[in-house]
This record gives sequence, structure tokens and C-alpha cells, in this order.
Amino acid sequence: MIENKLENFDVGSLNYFITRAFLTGFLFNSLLNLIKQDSWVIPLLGIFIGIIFLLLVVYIFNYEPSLNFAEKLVSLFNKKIGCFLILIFCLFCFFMCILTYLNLNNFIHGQFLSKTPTLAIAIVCIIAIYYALIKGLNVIAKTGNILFFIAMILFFISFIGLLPFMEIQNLKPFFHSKPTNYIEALNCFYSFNIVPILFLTILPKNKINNPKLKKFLILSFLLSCFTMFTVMFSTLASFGYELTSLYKYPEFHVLKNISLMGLEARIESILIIQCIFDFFMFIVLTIYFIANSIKSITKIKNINNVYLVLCVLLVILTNYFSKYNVFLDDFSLKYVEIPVSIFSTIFILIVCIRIKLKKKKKTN
Amino acid sequence: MKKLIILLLLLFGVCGCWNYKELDDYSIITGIAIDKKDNDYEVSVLISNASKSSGDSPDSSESKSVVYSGKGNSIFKALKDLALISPKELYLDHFSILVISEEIATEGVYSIVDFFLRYPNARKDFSIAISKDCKAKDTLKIITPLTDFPSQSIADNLKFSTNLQGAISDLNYNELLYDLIAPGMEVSMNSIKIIGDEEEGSSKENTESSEPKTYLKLGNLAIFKDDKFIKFTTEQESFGINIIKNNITEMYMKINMSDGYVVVSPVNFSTEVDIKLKDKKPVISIKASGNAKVMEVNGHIDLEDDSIIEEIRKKSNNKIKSYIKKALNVATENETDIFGFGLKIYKDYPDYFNEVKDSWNENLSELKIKIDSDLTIKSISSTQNSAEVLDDRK
Repeated sequence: MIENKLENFDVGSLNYFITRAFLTGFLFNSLLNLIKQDSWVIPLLGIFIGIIFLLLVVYIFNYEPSLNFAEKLVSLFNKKIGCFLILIFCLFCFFMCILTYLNLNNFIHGQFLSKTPTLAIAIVCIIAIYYALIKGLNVIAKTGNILFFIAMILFFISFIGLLPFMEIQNLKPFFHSKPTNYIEALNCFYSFNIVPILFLTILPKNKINNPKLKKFLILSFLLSCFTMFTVMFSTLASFGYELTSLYKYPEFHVLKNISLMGLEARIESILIIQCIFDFFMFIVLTIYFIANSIKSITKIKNINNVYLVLCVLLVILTNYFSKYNVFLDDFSLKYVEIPVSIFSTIFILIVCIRIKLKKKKKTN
Repeated sequence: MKKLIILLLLLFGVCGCWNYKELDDYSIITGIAIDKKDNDYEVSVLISNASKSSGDSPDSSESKSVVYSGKGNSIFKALKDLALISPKELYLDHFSILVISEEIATEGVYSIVDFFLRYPNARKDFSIAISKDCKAKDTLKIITPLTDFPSQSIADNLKFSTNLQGAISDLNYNELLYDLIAPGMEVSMNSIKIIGDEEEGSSKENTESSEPKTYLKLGNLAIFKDDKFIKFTTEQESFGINIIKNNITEMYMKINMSDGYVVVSPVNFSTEVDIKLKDKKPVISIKASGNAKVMEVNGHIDLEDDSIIEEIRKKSNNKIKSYIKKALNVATENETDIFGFGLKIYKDYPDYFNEVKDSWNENLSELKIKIDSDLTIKSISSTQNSAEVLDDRK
């Protein structure tokens, strides 16, 4: 199959989804624990950190435009160190993937299909993910494109539907948590919502038609931040902190209020699909990342088999970990973000410094 | 061959939903009542008898709804006990009203709210009321010619009467949760009572009579402290509570004049509660405002006379102030901040509230509260003057 080049917009829409994937079930709950009713402010403050990170990602993109991230690592370091780094990063990537898939299954099981076994949900979802993967990058990108437009429509309906319920009074008292909590909250946002941008580097720059990555990545990130801010703001302004913190998925429960002009009610299940799109696209992209990284450093020719193994592994591990849901909820909310942020920051800095040194060497 | 196998496998997928259930397999619950019986919970559910309510049944003598009860030491156990009676699976997605008994409310509503929070299929927008002078279960049984489903009747009545009646205020589950857990806020909810005999109300004869002997009536507000019921308020106190909580857009007041009376109905009515901290003490100002229409005149009252209109206005404002005072009195006497003054202070002055929150309810009587009412008579409705005044002028 001849693969067409990706458009900038395709990359932008992928970026939109992967930066939002941890919002439902992770980020919002963590922020509520830390800074209560001020959670909405974090996506706005996070823009600055996000843009710095994005510039680093673009810097990696620009190095050897014909190579993907794994190949870049091998070319930057020697094969041994490169492979080791790829392996570590793939494990990290798969860990994030498991967290997301577990969250997706829990969300569907908890809110819609309470009587269906999580394994059945996991199998059904993985079929769609595997199908997108075997169809290739172009199909993944175009799927992202279409889902992006649907997500935007659903987002605006949700926002307009919630407007009558919002009360600024519910957001008070403003900024009443400890300053260290805001820093921790920003770290959460960085770990869950900014770090995944790095997964986009699996796309070689020269696979993108007329690349204007900086512009499109920043625009899509700003849009993602704006939607995350709106979700948190509208939920907190409608429910208030006390009620929001009671629910595991408050952004879903708040949608139950929506009744469009008194004609359309009980549409929360349709509106929340936008969050399922985030999970779906994130998992597709992470598996694509891992499989292509493995392909780059090994002699595997049929990547579909790698996709299959990863998908099966994901289902098995998710099903295994779902037994420890209560423990994992607590663990992922309290202990994940710090190791994730430290690891990813060190990793991206090492890569960028190495690129800088290599470039310096070349110019000398 | 590979494609054929996939195609065959897909055939299983398109034949229908796995583990599907027909509507007939479910007992659709439209209302729930919770009572206390021998130290256990007695959960009663009103189930829609779908085939009868659709009118397809030739036998119109069969009831369109049925009430089943189960008993247990927890809500869940009681529902499981109930499932032993019901021939179909209980379906809680669409119930619209939860009625709790006075006894349950006195013990505390926390014991019952958690189940509905956790139960994944229960929507969180159902209304909640407390039964007065009767078992909660009995409120689900009363059928009248206009209502086959008492639960729907209560829920609709609560929704229509809120904002229009003054003493009524619909409280849904989410609002109850918020009032329970928000700092500086206590619960007030509507009561419901049975007028007439419970036994007669559940019989078919009650629906056949043009004047039903038994019916349901919404009552005044019940007030709570923490999560426990304290007392039922009077109608005037309920008016006052709803005025302060800005739950009213329309109401009515009978104003006695020197020669008869007028009934005025405030419309576009709203209340603003402003709280300022002066010398580390909160000063609360309550200001009600709106327009009023004269709805009824009885006696020689000349509405074309400006002084009469001014007198009506003054008396209306005084009446509103008296409602507010009565509501404040009931709250301070029972040491419960049903208006959420504490919550407002917490929002604007969190540090101050954190200092006083432990004794907030107990010190309600020490609050400085200014009450103001600015109601203007805008309309004397479709006639200029009363018939009696016009007759005098002949």
C-alpha cells in the first residue's frame, strides 16, 4: 500500500487527543485532590511549560527528518545505548498505555456496562484499536481528523448546554491552597498531559507534507488546553468542588444536567464520547510508537504481528491489573506523576543535549 | 479461507447484542420509598406495569402500577430481598422520586444517600421528599383519577409548584448531596402527606370517584441539622426559607386592609444575600425585590387611589420581612444554617469561616442581619377596580 504523506493538520489532531487522554479519571481527580476548586487554572498555567516542551519536541523532530524517534536515538548514541534507551522509553510508553486502557475499561464498565466483564470490554475495544493500527499511519491520522471534528462539535454542545448551570460562586474561594500544591498540580499536568507529546516523534518529519510542526503543534496544544480548562471550569462551576470531588468521573455526571432547549435530554452518553476518542487515539498512537520503535531496532518485517502481540499483551495486563483497581486508583493519583515527570524530563533533556552536541561536532 | 473464517466469526457479532434483555424482562421502578421497620430498612418500590399502562390490556381492572417492599439491614439487602418478590429484574434507571420516612430522616440521611451515589445505573436527578404523618411507602400507593403513577405525580407536582407556590422547593439528589457536604450549609426539603385514608387511596374506587377521598398533598419544608431531620416548618416559615434561598419567582400574600383584603402575587421575585465582614463579625443583608400583581380584591378598596396602592405595597413588604424573620427565627432556634450563610462566608472569607466553623450553627443567633424588601405594585391585573368600588360609584 502506498502511504501518502501526512498533513500538518493530521499531526495537530493527534496532538490534541494525546494531550487530553489523561484528563478523564487522572488529571482532574489529581488536581481536585491537590488544589480543589482551583483545578481549572492548571491547564492555563500549563500552557507555558507545554510550549517549552513542544519546542524541545520540535527540536527532536528537526534532527534527521527522515528518521523516526527510535532511529534517531540509535544515530545519536551507539546502537547498544540507543537500543537500551528505546527499550526503557517503550516500557514507559507501555506503562502509560496500560494506565489509559485500564481507565478506559473502568470508565465504560463503571458508567455504562456495569454487568459486562471488563475483559469483554477490553477485547471489544482492542479490536477497533488493532484495526486502526493494521491500516497504517494514514488511516490513524485520518481517523484522528474525523474524530477531531466530531469531538469539537460535542465539546461545543456540552459547553453551551452547561452554560445555564454555571455559577462563579461555586469556584470560590479562589486560590486558597498551599503554593506547593499548585506546583505539584502543574507537575501532574506536565506528566499526564504534556509528556505524551513526545510520542509524536515516532513520525519522521519528512513523512509530513510541507511541515509546519511548530505552528500546528502549538495551536493544537492551545486548543487542547482550552478544552481541558473548559471541562474543569464548567464542571466545577456547575457542581461546586464538594460535589465534583464525590464522583470519579465528574465531567460525565455534570453532562447529565444538559437538556438542549428542553428537547434533547439524557444525551450525556453521546457527549462523553469525546473522552473515549481521547483514550482511543492515545492507545493507538502509543502502540504505534512501541511497535515502530521495536521494528526500527530489530529485523522484524511484519509489523502487524507486533501490533497483535502488543494488543494481546495490553488486554492481558489490563485484565490482570483490573483486580487491583482500588489500589491502582490511589497509586496512580499519588505516586505516578513524580517518577513520570523526572524520567521524561531527564530523557528529553539527554536527547536534546546529545542532538546539540552532535550538531556542534558537525559544524566543527 | 482466512477471510471466510473472519466473516463467519463476524456473523456472530451481527446477530444481536450479547447477553441482551427485552424490556419485558425488567421491572421498571418509577419511585422508591424508604421506611424503618423493626430496626431494618424497608425499601418499597413502585413498579410500572408496562403492559397494562400502555392500554393494550383488555382487562382494565388490572393495576397500572404495583408496589413491592423488601426488608434488610442495609438498602442493598432490602433491594435484594425485594427482588425475591419481583418476577422481573429491578431496573432503577428511571425512578423520579425518593420518599423517605420521618424516622429514617431523624436517624440521618447519610445512611441512604451513599447507595444511590454508588449504584451505577441510578440517575442523580431524582427528587427527594420526606413523608409527613404517614409511612413513606404509603405515598407510593395513592392513586387518583388523574394519576396512575403516584411517583410521577409527586415529581411533577414538585417541579411545577417550585417557584410558583412559595412554600415548595424541589430538591434533587445532587442538591441534597451538595447541601450535606458543603461547609456552612444544611438541608431543607419538601414534605409530602396523605390527605384521607391510606387504604382507600390505594383502592380502585379512589380513581372512580369524581372527588377522590384520598390524595397526596405537598407540605411545608422540613429542616435538618447535619444530616438529621429536626422539624417541619410552618407555611410562613417555608415562605421565608425559600425567599432567603432565592427559590421563589412567584408567590401569593393576603394583605388585610381596613375594609377587606387584597391578594398580591409577587412576580419576577428575587432575593440577594450580601455578606460583609465588619470588625471580624459578619454582617448579612437580605434584600428581596420584585414586582407584584393584585390578584384578588375583597371589600371597598379603591385601587385607583395612590395611597391605597402605597399601603398595599408597604404591607406587602412588611409581610415579606415577617416571613424572612420567621424563617431566621426557626433556623436560629434550631441552630441550623439552612440558608447557607456559612457557605457564602466560606466562599468570600475562607480564613474567617475556618476559625468559626465548629461553632457556626450554635452562634447563628449572634449574626447581624439586615432585612429589606422592595416590592412594587406594577399591575392590578385585567380590571381597574373591584366590583364593589365600581358599584359604590354608581
